[in-house]
Amino acid sequence: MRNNNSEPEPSTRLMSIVQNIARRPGWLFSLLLVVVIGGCDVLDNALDVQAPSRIPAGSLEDPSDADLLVLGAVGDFECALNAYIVLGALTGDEFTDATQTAARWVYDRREVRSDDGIYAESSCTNLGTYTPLSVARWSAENALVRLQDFTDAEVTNRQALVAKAAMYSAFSHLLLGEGFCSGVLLNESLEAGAEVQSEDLFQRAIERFTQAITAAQAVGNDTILNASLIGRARARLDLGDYAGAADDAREVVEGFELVATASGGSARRQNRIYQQSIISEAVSVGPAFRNLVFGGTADPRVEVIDTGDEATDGTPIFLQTKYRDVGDPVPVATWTEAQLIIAEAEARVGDPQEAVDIINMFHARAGLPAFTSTDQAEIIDHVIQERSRELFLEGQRFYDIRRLSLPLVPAPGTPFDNGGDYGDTRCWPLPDVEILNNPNI
Amino acid sequence: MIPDPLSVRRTSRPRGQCWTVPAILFVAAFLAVTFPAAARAQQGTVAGTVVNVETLEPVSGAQVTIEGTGLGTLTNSAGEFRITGVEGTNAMLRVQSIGYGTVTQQVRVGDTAIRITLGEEAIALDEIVVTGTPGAAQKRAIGNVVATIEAEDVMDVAPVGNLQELINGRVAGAVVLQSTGMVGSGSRIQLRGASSFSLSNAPLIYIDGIRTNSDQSTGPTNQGFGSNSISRFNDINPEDIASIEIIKGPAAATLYGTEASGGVIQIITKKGIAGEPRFNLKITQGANWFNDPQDRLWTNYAMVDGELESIDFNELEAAWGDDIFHTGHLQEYDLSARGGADAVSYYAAGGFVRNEGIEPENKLLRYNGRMNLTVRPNEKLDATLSLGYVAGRTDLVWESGAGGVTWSTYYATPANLGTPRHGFYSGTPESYYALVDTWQDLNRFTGSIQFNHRPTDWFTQRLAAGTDHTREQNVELFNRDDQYVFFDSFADRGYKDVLDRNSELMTLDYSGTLSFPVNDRLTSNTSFGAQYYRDYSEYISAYGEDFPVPGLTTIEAAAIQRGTEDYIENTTVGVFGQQQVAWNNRLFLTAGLRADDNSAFGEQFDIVYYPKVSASWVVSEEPFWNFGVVNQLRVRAAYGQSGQQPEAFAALRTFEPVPGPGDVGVVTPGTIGNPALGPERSEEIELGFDASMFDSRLGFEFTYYDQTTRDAILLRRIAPSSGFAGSQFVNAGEVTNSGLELVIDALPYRSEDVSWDLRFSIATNENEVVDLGDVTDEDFIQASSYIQHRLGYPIGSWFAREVVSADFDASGEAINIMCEGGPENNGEAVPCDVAPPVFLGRTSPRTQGAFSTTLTLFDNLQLFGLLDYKLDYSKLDGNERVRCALFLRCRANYFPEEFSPVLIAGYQELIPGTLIHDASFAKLRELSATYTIPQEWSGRIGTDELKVTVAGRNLGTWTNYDGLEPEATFHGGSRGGDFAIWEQNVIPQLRQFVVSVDIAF
Repeated sequence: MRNNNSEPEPSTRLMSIVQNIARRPGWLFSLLLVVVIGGCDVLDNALDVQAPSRIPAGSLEDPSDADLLVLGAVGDFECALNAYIVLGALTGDEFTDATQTAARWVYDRREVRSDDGIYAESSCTNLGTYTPLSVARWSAENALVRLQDFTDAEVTNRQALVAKAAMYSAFSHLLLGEGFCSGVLLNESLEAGAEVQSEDLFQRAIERFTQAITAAQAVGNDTILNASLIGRARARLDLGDYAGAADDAREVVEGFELVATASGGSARRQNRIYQQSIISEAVSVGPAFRNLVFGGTADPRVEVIDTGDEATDGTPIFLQTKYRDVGDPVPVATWTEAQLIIAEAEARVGDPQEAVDIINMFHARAGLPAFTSTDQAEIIDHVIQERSRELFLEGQRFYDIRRLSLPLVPAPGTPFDNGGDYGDTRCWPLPDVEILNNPNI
Repeated sequence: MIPDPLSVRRTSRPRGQCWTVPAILFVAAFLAVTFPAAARAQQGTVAGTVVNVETLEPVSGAQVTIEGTGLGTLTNSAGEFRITGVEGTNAMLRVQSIGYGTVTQQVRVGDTAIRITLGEEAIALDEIVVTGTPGAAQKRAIGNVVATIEAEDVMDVAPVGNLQELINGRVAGAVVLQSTGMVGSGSRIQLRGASSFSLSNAPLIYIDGIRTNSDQSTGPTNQGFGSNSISRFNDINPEDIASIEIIKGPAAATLYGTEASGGVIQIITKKGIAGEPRFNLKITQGANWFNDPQDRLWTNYAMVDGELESIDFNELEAAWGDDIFHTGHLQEYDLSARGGADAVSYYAAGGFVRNEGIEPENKLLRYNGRMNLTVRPNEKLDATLSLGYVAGRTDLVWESGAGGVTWSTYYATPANLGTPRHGFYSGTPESYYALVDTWQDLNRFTGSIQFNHRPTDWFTQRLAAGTDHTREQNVELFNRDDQYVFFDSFADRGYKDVLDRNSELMTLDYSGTLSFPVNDRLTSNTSFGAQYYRDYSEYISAYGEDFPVPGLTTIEAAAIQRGTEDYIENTTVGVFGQQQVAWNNRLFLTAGLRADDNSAFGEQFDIVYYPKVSASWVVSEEPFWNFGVVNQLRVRAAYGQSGQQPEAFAALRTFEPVPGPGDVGVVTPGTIGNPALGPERSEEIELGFDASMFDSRLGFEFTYYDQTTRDAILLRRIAPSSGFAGSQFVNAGEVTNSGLELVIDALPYRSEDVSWDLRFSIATNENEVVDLGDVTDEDFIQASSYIQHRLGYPIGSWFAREVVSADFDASGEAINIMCEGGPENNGEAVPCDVAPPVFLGRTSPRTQGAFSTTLTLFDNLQLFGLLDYKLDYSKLDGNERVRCALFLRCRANYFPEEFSPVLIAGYQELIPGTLIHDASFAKLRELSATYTIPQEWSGRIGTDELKVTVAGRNLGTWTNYDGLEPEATFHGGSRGGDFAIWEQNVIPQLRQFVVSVDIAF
């Protein structure tokens, strides 16, 4: 049942095709179309697409971008610091977790493994610490590299920007050293090297603070100068250089404060501590910080509110009151911290009574009874307690627990309410995402 | 500074006016050749009857056309046809019907008593397909397999509510993995296994020749780990589909170029038929329910005040005082009109669906409209305008990690008995109903126009242009809660998240074919064509939290508000040429080449070329064929390449704008980019044969395929120290897929009163990661928790620690826990804390297929059944993980001695292998009875045809998987992306019962 129509002889057919084309202008148009499509650069034009919400990296290498890059680095650090404070508080003893799913329990339980995603990979708005701090460091270091290529003529406030970028790089190094058991450093080409110890990160922090201090002095920028002195004092304290730390701390102007600003405008700018504890009630103040007193007087520096509520997992909800608004700034470096560094240094290697005086200055400020002691160990202990209260939820306590080998409460092995036992994490391990993907590790 | 506009140019050549010129020329060309003032010759009529050669029963719905013209019709229920306006004295009549061999017969114009007999055929070599070919082509001419689903026939009998149900079990090699039983939720559909590490492995969807939105995962976030669950595949009303053509891999998809390596699914909608208008009204009513929750859900344990207490589903319902899961009502109404004259024919349809799930808040509301208009101004041209519109709302409920009624019910705890939670873990069902509203509003328009032009008998050309515009509004609203106190204070004050997505896909597709005989045996077909695709999406999202008082539901009323906008665009330009030679209409050799450029390729990457060759030989038509048993045999072979493009801006290193100090805009590192990024390239060899035996009583379609994907795009994690968060797309790996596909069609019994059809299909997929490039020193890439791409193993497989031995101590704690040591330890067991992850199974079925049968009795009762199976893949039972390893609700947690120490060790130490199980299953998917009311009765109420169908869906499951539902999985998302086979408080597949009445008048 096949088609048995007779077909014209092929050669006649070809001829008629040619004749047909010649006779019918429409055909010429059709053929022309193919030629036109093939021949012109329509292809390339058709491939132009718009990317109005993306900024190609190449467009940020101009001297006029210097301010933007440095300000971006500051923003990166500020958001990272907020996440660091919350996650450090959760892993340490300032906060306890109040969420109903298990993802964050490992922090509360101090059982953080290097493959855990939150601290390693999350963004700063999702309580990540390693990635946001690494980004903050890179942003600051990238700005420093760019600033080296620019001249003072191209960028009129170049020295001030160098000071600022160096200082924020230093603070990022400081937190990378304090929070993590080990880390990596970047070379001049911003490439990451092999695994190094926290002490190496503190050394790099000191270099950058020194660079910042030099540049700040050159242009008379007191804010960067004072903040960098406090930062360098902290790095020296971290390295056990008490005398050096105290020397830096003594130069700090009374009442000085550098803060990370915040606002309710966007997740990235929110005071994360307030957001987590007051807005989300995802954390509760830890048992060790509830209802603190000294000499029978409630300590106003760690004021908490017992809501009487329980989270889904049964955790009683205690709210912190240090941060009372989503726009409240978070201290980065303060004269208070500087005084506490002096107090610790004096208590350990100087005149312990000077430490007692500093403690009592804080007690007077808080309306607490005076502290008296002549026992060096007791004084050191009390300085540490003062640090935990004066610097409550400022991102200092987590490293103090590690630095001073403070006892872990509850002790490792104690059953955790939501299952499992408490572990002994005192620092977050260098995460797998770095170890597996860094070609130099 | 930032350039404005931020145009991402691929070259530096100047912008020309090249598009407008050819466009104008083209329209002119069309007008010039398509509307010649041809005087009409003398016209006549041909008419007759089409019958089955064996049973002599009339064949209704057969397509009768006059060759070389646009004239044609369908036979009525008495097998009769009539075509008017036929020119000349003789005409070639062509008659086609599904399941029958095509007949071409010369008839005299004016003959109105033509009798055509059709012989049944198990394989349809003359069936016309349009997918993967430059123009329409017969299957016999194509060297690759094109799977066809005759949707109209399926919809007559099967309880099918959407495209994924239409595909499931009907195509060998198409894997449909359901994500949840939630009404309105989508599936993950893959053809011939996964070949891409990090890009979508979903096929492309075309509707009537134009590319359409094929996002499988959209919607508001209702699955905490599982991403979103609405698939754009399911927007089209299956009642509007005439047929579906599926090409499964690069060998067939070469002409579609970059993006097509996952295969192509083409939906062909119903078109008008010249003749009296025929109206169809179909009314469906049904019910969905959670089958047997009491036996399938668990008894949960907890220590309450030092005493061990338990709660099971019945006790929870009793404590709650009401049903936890309800029976949802399904209703669907479809009305269509089909008819026309020779010059203009139409199909117009409207449909409405309201489908409710087992939670009152879960419902699908969908309105569909379709208007297909075909115009044939003369016999050389037809133009079809296809307009489809769908609007509706899908209301989802929370599950899989987001919380929700399933979360609260599955993990119920006796500790909460006697509290306002009534034993539920978190909120009570009514609190979720009242507080959580999660929905997607959809407005989607798909419009295309297609010109088919046959100016001469040696040249045909086709132009298709169309757009698919989707607007989704995805909303997650948590109402302010002053009545329910189960949630934390943040949620208690309410929040709302809205994502508005506008996306558009534009297609411009031209192809032409020159065909002429070289001599009286050899015919040459030369085809060429060009395509342009533009795909853009605009996103606007807004978020607000903290409603000061209850009842406020807009973001404007929230104390804290945020918003954002984004825009993503991608374009592809491609050209192709193809040469085919046909020898005696039995041997066909084809070679083609496609060239593509894409805006997402990196700067260092240029145009990509994809070649193809194929051969098809209908051996049984050779004169030497003399094997009576095998009455038809065609062998075929095809080789082809295709690709998969990177994501839109994957090549570009970017910074992102963010608010900085003082809320002033600053920049932060965005994506690290990769200037060398190019497409993935897949090549495939496909070999097979189609055979029919015993007078076409038995048909085989056998295919072997072997695919290799090179430059596979891998989303490599980057070290955070690089300053850039997240990942980088690199062309790194190589993946192979191979397998067999076999479809057997049998017509074991035929008589005047009884006919019985059987179909069996099986498809296998062997998948292996062959190369991971130099992206890692290891021989694997961690894809997500417990899922790795590891050399020598299938892509995206389970790798985790597995306990092999343990003992109990005196208190029932597991001790001496040893895990599988894997190849690193020469198979020796090692202590679990130093054990490596070991292979624990594939995440997609290695073998799958279906068995279906239709029994027709006395011409008016049809019984239909479909059983499908998926074998050899593994799933992580997240319910077990949460209950037994995290929340300690399992009996094993309190009576360990009743269980094996190995199991207890897995729970105690949260060793994932304990939770990963074989998920192989078979399901009795569809069972139906359709009764056609005899004409003598139905005619009395003025109808041409009246059919009643009673059907059930998901009626039985056979599986070794002892979790809740072998078919529940996450639909992408954070727990494994494309490879997520993980179930955690997911609604199982619902059992469904429907009754439908189909009236033609």
